[in-house]
Amino acid sequence: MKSDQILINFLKSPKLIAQFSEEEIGHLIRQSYATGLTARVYSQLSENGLMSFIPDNMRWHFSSANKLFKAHKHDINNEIKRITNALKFANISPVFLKGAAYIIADNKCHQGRLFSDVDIFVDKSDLSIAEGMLRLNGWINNDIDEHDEKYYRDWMHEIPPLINTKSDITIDVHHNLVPLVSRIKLNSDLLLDRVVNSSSGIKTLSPMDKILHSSAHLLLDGEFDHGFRDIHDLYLLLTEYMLDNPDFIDDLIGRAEELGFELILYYCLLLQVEIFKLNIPISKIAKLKQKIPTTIITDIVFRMFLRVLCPEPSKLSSFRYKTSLFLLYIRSHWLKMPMHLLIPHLLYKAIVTPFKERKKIKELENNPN
Amino acid sequence: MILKELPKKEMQALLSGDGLSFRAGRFSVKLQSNITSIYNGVAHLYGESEALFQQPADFNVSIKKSTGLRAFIRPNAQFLFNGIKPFTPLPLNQAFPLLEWGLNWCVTNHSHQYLVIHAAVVEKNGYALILPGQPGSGKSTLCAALVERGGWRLLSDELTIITLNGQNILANPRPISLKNQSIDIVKGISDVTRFSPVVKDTIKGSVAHLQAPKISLDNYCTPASPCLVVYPKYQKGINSYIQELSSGESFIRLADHSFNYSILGLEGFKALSALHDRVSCYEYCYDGNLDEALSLMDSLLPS
Amino acid sequence: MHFYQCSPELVVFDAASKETILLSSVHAVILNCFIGLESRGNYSFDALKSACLKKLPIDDATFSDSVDKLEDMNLIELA
Repeated sequence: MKSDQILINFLKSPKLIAQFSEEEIGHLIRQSYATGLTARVYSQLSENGLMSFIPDNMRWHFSSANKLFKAHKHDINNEIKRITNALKFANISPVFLKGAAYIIADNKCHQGRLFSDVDIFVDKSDLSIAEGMLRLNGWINNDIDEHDEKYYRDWMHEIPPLINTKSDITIDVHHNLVPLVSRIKLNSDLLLDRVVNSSSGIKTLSPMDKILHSSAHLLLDGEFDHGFRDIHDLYLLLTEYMLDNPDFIDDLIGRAEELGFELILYYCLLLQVEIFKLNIPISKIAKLKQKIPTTIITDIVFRMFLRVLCPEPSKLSSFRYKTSLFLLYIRSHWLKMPMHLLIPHLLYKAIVTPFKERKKIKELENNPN
Repeated sequence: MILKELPKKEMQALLSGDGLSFRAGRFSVKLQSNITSIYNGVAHLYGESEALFQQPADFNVSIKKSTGLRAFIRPNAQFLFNGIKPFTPLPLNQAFPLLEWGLNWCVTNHSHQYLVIHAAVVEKNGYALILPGQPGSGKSTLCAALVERGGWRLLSDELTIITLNGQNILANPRPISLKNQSIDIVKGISDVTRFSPVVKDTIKGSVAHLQAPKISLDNYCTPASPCLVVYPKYQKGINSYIQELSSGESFIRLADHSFNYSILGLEGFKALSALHDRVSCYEYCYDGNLDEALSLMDSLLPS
Repeated sequence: MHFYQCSPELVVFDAASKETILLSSVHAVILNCFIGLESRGNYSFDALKSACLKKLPIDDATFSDSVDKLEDMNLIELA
């Protein structure tokens, strides 16, 4: 087995662990850490009764990560309650997105998933009241500089992230469901038509819309720190819903057409087939491809996505990886911003930000918690 | 085989290639680096540590010269854990302290099979003495003195590892980290050849590391029984005194000093409860008289 | 709620909020007395006060403040 395929092969078929050598399990651990999926691997091992195949002296990596995940899930659930209660007084019922939504809907992909932000959507008209209610209840500005605050408020029309000092969890309040892309037409408002209520009355996007929304973020945000985790989340969502509904892919393609998300879904499904060998008939993907203007650029961008979504940490220092990452970063900003704003923003990020970064070394010594 | 027995060329080839594997505390580490001071630091401070071959390491880390635009402004060292960059880069001359801080981060962020507390811990006659303290409390100087002059075994200078049943303290002996005035004080009571060069102008001031005594490395598998928790507070010119601290008060302080108490939740609460059933707790305000401190710590041990 | 008895104090851990609090000896005595009375279905303030005073001399103000704190923490509930 090629060593950079080890985590992927395990996630496709956990029972393969029975055949892994100790060295291969070592690669599994490294790739799990690199992708932030150590706790997810734990849940796959544990649910399938496969933990005995991990040597005694290596099991702690997974069980320890699981403890972190359980504590994290507990904290996020508390945070969801706090946010809901804070906004209830202003009659605002936010739609929870991404990681928090997976927990609320009890999707398989919430298992072992760690994340630092809770993302919610509110109507644009409710945005300042929402910010006010959250500040009243103890949320404060996260540590950002003036340029970034201006970027959020004036250009992206967002509130900068707020942090709950008690729990250390950041909340991102959105009034646009997907990044504002000036160069592709996305009817993201339609995502709100099919919002669902959980058993506790908390709103999330519908199953199909969760997939389209998460795909849009993965492919348009231009940052891939958790790229492999995100593409695996989509794999789990797709397989979960395909199991319940044999026509799911057709319905999903139809929905993508309604929203103008054809290109996004095309990339997403192609990546699923390429990486996880997901069983989607090529004819369906070909049909989807016909509806979008693909060019040689589409193929190049696809290859770059494949490269940046690689779970093997030793590949991260390769020239091709770094170039793909850089070009996709530029691409995401190019999609969002006109040129006269793009260049100054990129220059600022490249040159000024390094001088301003102060991070965790001091925390290690002074704030153990 | 220990690292100092590895031929220099082979060690350099491993470091700049696939990685050099060795024991760091109770964990195994595979390290890659293209920085000279890392080679020197590891060869010197981990010279007595076990070289490891043919087995997956607990922590795969690297310290590399950072590249790109920033490297032109100032040459930097970047710490990586399986490709992840938990910290911003530091100036190249701080590479070895960065490695040590990075290895601490590896333990505190991933070892939730234990309760890990920010404290020094040493052992004598099977009994563990835990020394929690904020920076400036004098715990590192006291820890070094207990180990270099007092006949105590080093379990750790920074990370006290407690089993979740609260019954054992596990050893994690690594180079002792010393800062500012502490460096000269400890140089005065130990073998200076076991010291790293002093690195100035770090975020903590001047920093140096002292190689862990061989006997503590050889016994890393031997745990100790929790017995004493002493909260040191160094104050120049004070009349030294020691007073008992209630278990309840110590419980809250140790929870605050823990890296992962909030992650462990009830397990952490039970671990600290079981620990406090076994220990006597004290506050110790001292003026820096190390001889006095050493005989006082000895006097606290059960006869 | 979980408790660690380290007389005369008490450490309380709330699993829901993950908060850990140290209660003084006064709070510990009041809580212990409350648990005893609760098992007999008695939730009266006066009964609690009388039971506590048998174990520890507490002035009225300290007693009231301590009872308030324990009620705020949902550790006791009086009629």
